[in-house]
Amino acid sequence: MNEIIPATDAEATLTLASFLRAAIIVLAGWFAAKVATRIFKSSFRFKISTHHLAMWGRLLYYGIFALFAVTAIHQLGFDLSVLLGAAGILTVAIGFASQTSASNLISGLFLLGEKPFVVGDVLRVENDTGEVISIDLLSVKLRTFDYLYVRIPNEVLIKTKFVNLTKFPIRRIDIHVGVAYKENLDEVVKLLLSIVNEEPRCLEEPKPFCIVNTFGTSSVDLQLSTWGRKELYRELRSDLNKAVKAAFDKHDIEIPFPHVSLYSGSRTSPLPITQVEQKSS
Amino acid sequence: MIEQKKTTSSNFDFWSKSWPVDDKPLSINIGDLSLTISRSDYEWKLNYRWQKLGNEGAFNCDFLAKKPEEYTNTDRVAMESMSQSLTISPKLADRPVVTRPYSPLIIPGKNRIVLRVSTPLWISVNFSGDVSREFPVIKLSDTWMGQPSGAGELCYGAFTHAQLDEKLLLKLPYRALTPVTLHNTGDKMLTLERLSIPAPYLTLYEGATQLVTEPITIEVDPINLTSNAHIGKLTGNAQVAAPRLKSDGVLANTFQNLFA
Repeated sequence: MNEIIPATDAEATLTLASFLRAAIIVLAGWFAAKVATRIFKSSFRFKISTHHLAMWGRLLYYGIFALFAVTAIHQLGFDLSVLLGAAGILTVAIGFASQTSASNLISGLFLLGEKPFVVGDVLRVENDTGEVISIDLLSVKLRTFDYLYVRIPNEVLIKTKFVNLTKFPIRRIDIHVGVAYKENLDEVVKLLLSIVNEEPRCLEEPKPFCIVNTFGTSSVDLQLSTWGRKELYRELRSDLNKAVKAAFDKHDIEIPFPHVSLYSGSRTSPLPITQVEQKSS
Repeated sequence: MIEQKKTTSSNFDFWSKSWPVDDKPLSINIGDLSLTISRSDYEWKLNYRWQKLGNEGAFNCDFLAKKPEEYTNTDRVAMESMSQSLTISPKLADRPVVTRPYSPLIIPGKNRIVLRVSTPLWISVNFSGDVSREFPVIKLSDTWMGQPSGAGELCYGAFTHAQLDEKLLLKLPYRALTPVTLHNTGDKMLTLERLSIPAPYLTLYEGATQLVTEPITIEVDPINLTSNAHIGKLTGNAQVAAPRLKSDGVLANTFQNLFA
């Protein structure tokens, strides 16, 4: 006689075996996804940019894992068409809920195509300035110079203006300095230009220049502009400021403090001041 | 008539000589560069500075009897197995050198002239195998040739007399001479304000009295703003240093990059 297996025992055996098979498939999927991602990254490390590598690596990982997960679900006895139908309805609901995320995702793709910046560039976005440390599907992460972490949604970058401070290989350094009205401006300009001409880190081309900008309330304001490599921008600007100060000190050129001059009515006659001795009583 | 700079008779032997360094430090003075090299059990110590000496730069290498003067810059090279000696070899610049004549030179249309342009050498101090350090004999300024927004390259900037007459050359042992043939292929006059020498692509050879490179021919069209540089060949001269970068002999480039 054929042995009759009780229904509950058969169901339990099938379910347990299915769970085990599904678990093995999921584990295998995780392992396969990891190995495939590792192989992909090591093969393409020097062929594509860092953020493309990270992005495609993640897509590959989740893609392979998803395939194995679907197979595991099938093993558990679920009807995938029902799941897909439910997924369709869920998609609509999720779509409404995740409009912003979808917008960020699409914006991320546009940013990838346009490539206005890469990892390592320095960006100024509204009030935040920092180095781009990663470009992800939904957002871009910056590290500010004082080591703060800034997350900027991709949608914001598409919609607003941002400045890439390191897009071009060279950068202009502007030194603004004011000198006293009594100084000989030709001599001052000559001195300032000699400072940049002596400095090898200042590029000979594009040519440096020095212009008299404005007649300020306390000083005549000049602008000394020179070009340098972008990676030397900060140190060169600081060194030039120091050199200007040292040169002005050496040549007795005054950098005036803000001051106000009082005149009694004629610009050549100062206010009369008389010192009066106090009579002792 | 400019007086010829006297050069030592053993200039070229200097470059191939092996210098054994033990207790006494080695002092190298070439051009503006003063470099002192000391050897200890585990490291080489390099002490160096540059002083602007113009055409009066030295060209000597001697062992010092006493402790050397300390210069501002110091490098230390550590090696697992210390070598006993070093060699000093010349090289050309690691970037193109943009030379500017002291006064602009005008080349009429359909004319070809030959300029003698010299560029300062780099010296490579070789300790063993791949272990070496390079120093320019003259510290050149940075400059940019091309569009500031990226279509250009970082170069060194230098001045040149751009001599047409070979007799007027100074023949300094720490500079390499490059004959440059400039051919103005257009009808318009061309003003030479600066010229980029593609030093990384040139080979260094022994010349009659100083180191030389192969000649360059540059054809310039001032109307269409294009130029092409061809690196020629030099035969019969002993090679001293290979080019840093390979080229097929033709450097097609825009007007802005080669000539301005």
